[in-house]
Amino acid sequence: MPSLRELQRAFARAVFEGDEAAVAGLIRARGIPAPDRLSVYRNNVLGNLRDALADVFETVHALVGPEFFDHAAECYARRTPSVSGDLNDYGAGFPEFLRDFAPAASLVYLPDAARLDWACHESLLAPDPEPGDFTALAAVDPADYPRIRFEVHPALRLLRSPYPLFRIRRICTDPAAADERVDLAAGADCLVVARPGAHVEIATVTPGQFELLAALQRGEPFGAACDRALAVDPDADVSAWLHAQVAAANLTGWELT
Amino acid sequence: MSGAPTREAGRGPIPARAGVGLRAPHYKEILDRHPPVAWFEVHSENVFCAGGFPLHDVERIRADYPLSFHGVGLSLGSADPLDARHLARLRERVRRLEPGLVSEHLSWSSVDGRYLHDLLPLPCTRAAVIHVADRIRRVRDYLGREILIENVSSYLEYTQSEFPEWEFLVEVLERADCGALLDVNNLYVNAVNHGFDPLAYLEAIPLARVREIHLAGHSRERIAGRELLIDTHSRPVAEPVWDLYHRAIERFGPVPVLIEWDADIPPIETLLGEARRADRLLEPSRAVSA
Repeated sequence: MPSLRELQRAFARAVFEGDEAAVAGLIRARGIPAPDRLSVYRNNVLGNLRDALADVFETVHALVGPEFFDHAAECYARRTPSVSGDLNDYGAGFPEFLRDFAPAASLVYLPDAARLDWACHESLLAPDPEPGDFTALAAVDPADYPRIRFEVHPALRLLRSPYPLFRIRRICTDPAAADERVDLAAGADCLVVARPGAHVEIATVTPGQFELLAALQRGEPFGAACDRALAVDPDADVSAWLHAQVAAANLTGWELT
Repeated sequence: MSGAPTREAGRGPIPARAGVGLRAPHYKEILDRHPPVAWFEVHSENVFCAGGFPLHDVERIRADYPLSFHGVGLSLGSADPLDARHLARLRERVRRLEPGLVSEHLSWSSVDGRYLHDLLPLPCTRAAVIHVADRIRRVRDYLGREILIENVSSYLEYTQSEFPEWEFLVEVLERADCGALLDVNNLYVNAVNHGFDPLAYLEAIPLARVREIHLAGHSRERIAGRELLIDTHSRPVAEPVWDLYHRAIERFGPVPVLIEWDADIPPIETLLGEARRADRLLEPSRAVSA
């Protein structure tokens, strides 16, 4: 008699690799052959993983259609183990997988669309910030500004793409925009995925603003972050940007270091 | 007996009435309209997230309704060690949301660290009883509270099984000394799929063990020329399952009963209708026990 582990391993091999040799002999046939019984489980398992990916990667789903998506998702599910009992954790590697997925090679923007979908998913489920207090910031000597470190909202995600991703996602997910067209040559997008309240919002920012936020998110002090932003956009009004980010709740705290 | 529970009902025990499975497409409507539902049950994993509306909406709903946790990812029957990270997340959320009941499945869903995200059947063996009952006890000790164990639907039986499914369930309940969440639809599905008498199954479960009942819809499929019932949770509760539910509450008395619907989720009105029917059938047993 096989051990419980041997039985479960054989079962998983049948589901993911189609190798039923070991487990079929452990199943009572009784009218329905073991391979047919196992196919019910294979459909359930792969279906659950596919559906989970479809929920998260809604832009990709809209771009390629349900049939293509199901095929891609199933290929991914077979080769990429889910390592958490919470299905919400599954799919981090899907954008990378799509980059190397030959049938999708002509859709050059697809991996970036997937990255944006995953960023939205991560942002939605990210922790809430500790409430910050910016009133005392007014009392800081301007000479000390460069040394301020800002805390960035834990749900903030930054994403850059050579394609007009913002518009692509809007057309895919907003029924009111479904008839619009995208010019792939329309240029690059710098995107901020944020969750000011309980829901996720996406905004486009300038390359300078993007550099500023990225540097702050990496934990760099304000002075160094400004240098990076000004290197990209010498005319930037960094102070106005900063106020806007505080107002948008993308910055949730600060300290003088 | 109907009508919205009062605000004070939030954080209370789960009443012996019909509740509804809490699913994300209904969060907003529940918060806006406060429909008359005696209690809700959320999948534990759906409140594992660190923040965002999936957590906040459930917290707000929890303030107004009794809430239970129903886990689908603990993999109690796996040969792997218990997943410490999963358990820690569960314990943290149990402490935060204080559910009236916590339940999991008599099944496995992972091996060698790979999750299949399905409730897979265990072989009905003495070794499996010992294995899973020990793990139920450890989870209960870790959480510091009782967990109910649910029977699952299945589409196969193992040659190595030593006793019928109901004996396996009872052995586990006795050895772990825990309560049962009796899924009447799963029981019916398995009775048809494996050819046993569902009433004999009901008769085998000790009266005091059953603390909750689940009801859901199944589909009929033809596979290899034979009919197989699939536990899809995508349809209304089937008539033979209502009949079996009636027999179950005659036997087990008034217990909390839940309507589950997980695929092709309909408007909440449909679920309320199913819950009303479940409640009507519960009324005679409540009158007797009152």
